[in-house]
Amino acid sequence: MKEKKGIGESIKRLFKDPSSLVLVLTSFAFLILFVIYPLIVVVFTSGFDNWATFFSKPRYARALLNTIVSSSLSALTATVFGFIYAYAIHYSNIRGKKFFRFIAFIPLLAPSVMSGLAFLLLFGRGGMISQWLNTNFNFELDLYGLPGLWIVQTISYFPLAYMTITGVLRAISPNLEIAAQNLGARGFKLFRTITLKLALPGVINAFLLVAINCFADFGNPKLIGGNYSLLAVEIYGEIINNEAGLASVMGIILVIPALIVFWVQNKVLSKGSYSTITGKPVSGLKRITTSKKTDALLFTFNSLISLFIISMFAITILFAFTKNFGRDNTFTLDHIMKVVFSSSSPAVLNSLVLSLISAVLAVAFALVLAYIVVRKPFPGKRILDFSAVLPIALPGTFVGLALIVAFSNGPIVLQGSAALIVIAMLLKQMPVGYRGLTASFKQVDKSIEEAANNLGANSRKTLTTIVFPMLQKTVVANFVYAFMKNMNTLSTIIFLITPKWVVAAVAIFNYAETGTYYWAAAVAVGLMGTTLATLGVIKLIFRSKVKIFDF
Amino acid sequence: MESNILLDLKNVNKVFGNNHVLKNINLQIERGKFITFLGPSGCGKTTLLRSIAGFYTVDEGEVWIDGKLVNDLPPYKRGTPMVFQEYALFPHMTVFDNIAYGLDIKKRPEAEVQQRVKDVMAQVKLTGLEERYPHEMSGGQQQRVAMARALVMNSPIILLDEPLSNLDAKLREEVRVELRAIQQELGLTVIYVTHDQLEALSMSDQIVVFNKGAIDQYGTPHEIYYEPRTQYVADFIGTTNFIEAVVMQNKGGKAIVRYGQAGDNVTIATDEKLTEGEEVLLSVRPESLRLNQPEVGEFHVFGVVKSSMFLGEKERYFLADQSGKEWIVDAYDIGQKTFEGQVQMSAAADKIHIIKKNKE
Repeated sequence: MKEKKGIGESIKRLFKDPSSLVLVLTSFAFLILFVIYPLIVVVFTSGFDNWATFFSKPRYARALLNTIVSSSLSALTATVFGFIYAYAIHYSNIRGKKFFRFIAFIPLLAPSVMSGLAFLLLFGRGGMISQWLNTNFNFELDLYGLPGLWIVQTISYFPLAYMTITGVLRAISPNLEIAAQNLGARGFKLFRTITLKLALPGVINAFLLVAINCFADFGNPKLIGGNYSLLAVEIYGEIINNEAGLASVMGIILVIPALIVFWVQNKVLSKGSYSTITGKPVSGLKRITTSKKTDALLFTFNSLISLFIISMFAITILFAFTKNFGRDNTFTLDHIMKVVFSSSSPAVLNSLVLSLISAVLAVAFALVLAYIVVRKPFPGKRILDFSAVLPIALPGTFVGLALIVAFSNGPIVLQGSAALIVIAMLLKQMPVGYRGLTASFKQVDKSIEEAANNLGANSRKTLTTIVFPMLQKTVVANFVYAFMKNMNTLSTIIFLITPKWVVAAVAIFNYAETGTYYWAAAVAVGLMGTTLATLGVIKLIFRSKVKIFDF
Repeated sequence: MESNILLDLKNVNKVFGNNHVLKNINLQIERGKFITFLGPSGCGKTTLLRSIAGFYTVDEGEVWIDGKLVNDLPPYKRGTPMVFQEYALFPHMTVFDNIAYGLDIKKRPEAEVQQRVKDVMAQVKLTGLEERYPHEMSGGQQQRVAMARALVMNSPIILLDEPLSNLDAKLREEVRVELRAIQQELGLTVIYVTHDQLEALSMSDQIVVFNKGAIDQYGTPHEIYYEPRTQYVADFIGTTNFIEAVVMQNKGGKAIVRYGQAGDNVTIATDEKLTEGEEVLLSVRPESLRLNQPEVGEFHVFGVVKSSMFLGEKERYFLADQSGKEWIVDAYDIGQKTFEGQVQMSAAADKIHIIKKNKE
């Protein structure tokens, strides 16, 4: 006798369960249309001639080299800074740890292009510090190009590195260091042989993560790079020039390292990580890993980083609320009223509406996908899973590029519609939620669903009364994360916005590029305020059930 | 008139991959009986329970519940409330909501739900804990909630999947007694899955012994214990001694068999069909053997005491006979007296049971 299984049997079972059938077919249709199809179009659009052009012009070679150099440098410093900052918080006895945590969290509220803006306000031509140096020391500060970009990207991506490394350091059981101390290791030797060794896979992971983010970032390179051109900026130029082929070539080049990193993360690092082997901390034992002198150094370092971050936000706020900061310091709400609350500048409102819609859809879609992939048997599950996770590996710039190339002509045209912006944001955030929810689904013991089934609930009732309520925390957390990312994204949607559907991050970028800094600053403040207010409302709705401000 | 058979399994087969988990299961279960599915892990007992509940569809055969063929009914239409091994309580609901869940799904009137939940909570001694959440309760209390959630459905049948395996030994014994009392009070049909023979012997009206996906024996606890039909059953339930023997004669339900190196004969009652010259096994329980008391019966073997173990109510002796085979004998109520050296083991013929060899 044989078990009834195989493709035929699972299709048959699917047809007996029409609601699942609809979910499976819709999911396939969506992912094929918006993930697989654009990828194929981009590959075909790139074409041989364009590859030849790309490799024959030194301008592109220089852009590629610049991209590699600047993103490696920024990733290196951001990772080192993030590591020291996290190490100080988790391993030393310094004061103000809570404050330092909070400081590392606030940049998440703003788009990374705001760091670029703040940098211009401080160190740009006519920036506060540049002018001060000029009048007092007659020193001409010029940080445009690689030096400025390096500094800005380091600061922009420092929180990402810090958070990734914090996760790694938290997973290291203090028992291990206590054991090593018990065996005679201390000071730098302890750090080198135990802590750093254990954290290394995670630190490399953080470096790679930051590197691919820098690699494809668009806003700051365009603002600060000057003549130091990067690939993402070149793509922008080619799109404006209607050279979709060349843009596709460069887009593919952006994707390659991202895919390699994605593969490395999945295959290599997950196996080589030791940090999962932990134990309960021995109560009453405290690891002492830093001397007083080290503590002092760490405290100074964290204070300097915090000072830098605070001054970036401070200068932005000052510009937003004064007539023309530095020249006319009178308090005013004019800028805010003009670019945030006026109907002629709907950027912030657009951001809010599109981000909310996209975040809701992303989480709902992630929920459906996770449910059918974990719980329902159907053919092609691996393909569906793969195409659902794939966008996580694709840089935002590339996602935007692929969508604009695929949907600006051909059988389906969506160019210029808000839908395309919502879809782009969704594609970037849905995989994160999908992964989280898949993990949560697997944690919900199957017997709990069986118990509901056994007591008379059909699949729909089981989902609505048991599964979804149990996943509420994960759902809300993912929604909040997706919403914040959507509010702040620039690279993903830069090719997709239209005059009607300008969003806040793009407005900041545009105003900053044209030198109307107070408006750029006002939009940034409006954007952050809107994000905070929305998070506040979510917090009120779900009360203690969700931790939003978890830093 | 409603039939006395509540559950009827006809030639049920289930296959996972290449693994034939249930082999031609035929079983009829009467109303109001406490039935135990007993066997080691992987023997198919849980698979059969889940097939009755509808979590698995059988690959061949028929499952009848209360005169209805349920092969194609999904679990939520079968009316077979189940108590899960890990309880599977809904973590986001209070005790009250957990227990009321099945009634709410059926859209029973609010007043009825209140009353029935209240009654069943009293029955399992949970009154006062309505507003607790599962994670705020002890394992024993969680187990009671799981029980109550199934009982409240007022279904004629209840399925229990090793419900006591996560409780400590003392609590287990307590719950066993209560469970049996509730079952008898309500006249429920209970199907109880366990690998614990003591649980099976102490609670059941009937025991179904599983062996590698097939039913080896279906009978009362006494039948299972004293008249095991296969070597497997005899071995799995309790401790026993096996002796090789040859059938000399089999007439009118009595067989004369020859055993031991000396070739002694003993006459044993049996309903097995045995032929002359057939090799069989004799099974005799350690407590049925007496040391140096030949007057107890007709069966005798000489042995040497190798070691012994004092277990309180009894002394367990490990002996070797002339062929070197190990014997276990339990001596009860013997005070300070101990046996050493060469002894004679004896048993009454009616305590010895013949098992046919060709059965696995």
